[in-house]
Amino acid sequence: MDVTSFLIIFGVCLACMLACRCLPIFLLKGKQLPERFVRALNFIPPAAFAALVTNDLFDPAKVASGDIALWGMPLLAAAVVLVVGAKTKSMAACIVVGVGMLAVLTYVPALL
Amino acid sequence: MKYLCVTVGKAAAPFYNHGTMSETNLKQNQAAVESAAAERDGAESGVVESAASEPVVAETSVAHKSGVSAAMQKEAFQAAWPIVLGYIVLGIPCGILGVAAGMDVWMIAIMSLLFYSGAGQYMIPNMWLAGNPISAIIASVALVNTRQMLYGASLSQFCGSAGKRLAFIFGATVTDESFGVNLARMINGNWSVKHALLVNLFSLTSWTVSNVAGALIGSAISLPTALASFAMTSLFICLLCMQKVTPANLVAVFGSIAGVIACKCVGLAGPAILIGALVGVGAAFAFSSVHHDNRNTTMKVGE
Repeated sequence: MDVTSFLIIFGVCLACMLACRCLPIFLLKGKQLPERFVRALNFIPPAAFAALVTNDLFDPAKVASGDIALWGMPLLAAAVVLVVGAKTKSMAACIVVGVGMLAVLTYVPALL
Repeated sequence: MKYLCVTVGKAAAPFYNHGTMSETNLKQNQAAVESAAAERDGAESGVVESAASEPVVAETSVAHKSGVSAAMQKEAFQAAWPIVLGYIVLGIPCGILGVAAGMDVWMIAIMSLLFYSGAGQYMIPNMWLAGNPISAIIASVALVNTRQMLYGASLSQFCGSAGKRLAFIFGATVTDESFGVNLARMINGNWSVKHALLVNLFSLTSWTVSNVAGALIGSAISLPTALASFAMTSLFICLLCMQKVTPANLVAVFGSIAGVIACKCVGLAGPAILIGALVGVGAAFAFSSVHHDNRNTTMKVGE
């Protein structure tokens, strides 16, 4: 990647990112917001994390490929992490169990 | 941290506390707060129990000037370390990928430090290697990162009394992971913007260092990207588990899932997270309006 292309991509992406990250804070901080707006804001965390998880686990191309293991193993590992997360609320435990579970599901069948 | 509960007053605090942090975490936080208070008391009374008094005095002086105590840093690191761990695992292959796309180490360093986006930094080299035009790369990366607006809007409730510089640096260093970690603690009531900024900075440092390390070591080591990225998926699942289980929140979750799946099925992969999350928020809002569920209406102003 040449320097000019990098600077264009980096500069524009950085400007967009800073606008998305900082503008809402500066526009809304310290304001007396309507009750309905605050109620909507408080639904953001569950909605955002559900969206992030779904985005990571669901890939239409993998589902259409017909290879169940391709998308089924991460889904199975995620289900185990969900149980661990619900019981422990520990991020470290979730990461260790999640990555470990996916590694076992991915590599162990190949060894058998 | 203090915040003003406009609609339901202090009665809202137990509602927010429940389900956001485990009992163990609450005890740890309480112990940390007591430890911080004890440290402050010691500093104010001039009693410093150490043989090497000069360095301690100097450190205390710096801490007072910056408003960041050692106890605050310790609390922040305790909150941030799972993110730090995940970023190390995910940052190294990201740096390797950048080098593969022809990026110099300084490019990777500056991008990690200022742009600071895992999704974006994986997309840029991948799209570049695939021969996409610059305009397509920029549009795709910008669309994927629009979800950050939701985090800023949500965190703005806790930045009421933060200065402009603090609010800017805090806002500019928010990521998916640090948003979840900080918001849970801010709602709990004993987490200031400075605490949150420290979490962001620890995470940013680990991301930048591991990206640069990945760029320097190149392909000398091989980390499976699918496994590395699943560390972050696991973290998101845990953050999801920390949310309070209410009918309206469940509607938000299933609305988001349906929204993301629908977006990706029709080829809108770029804005899928933003649109999915907005669908979830909209569905939950409509649900709570119909069922007159006003539990999520606490207004928080200030630190």
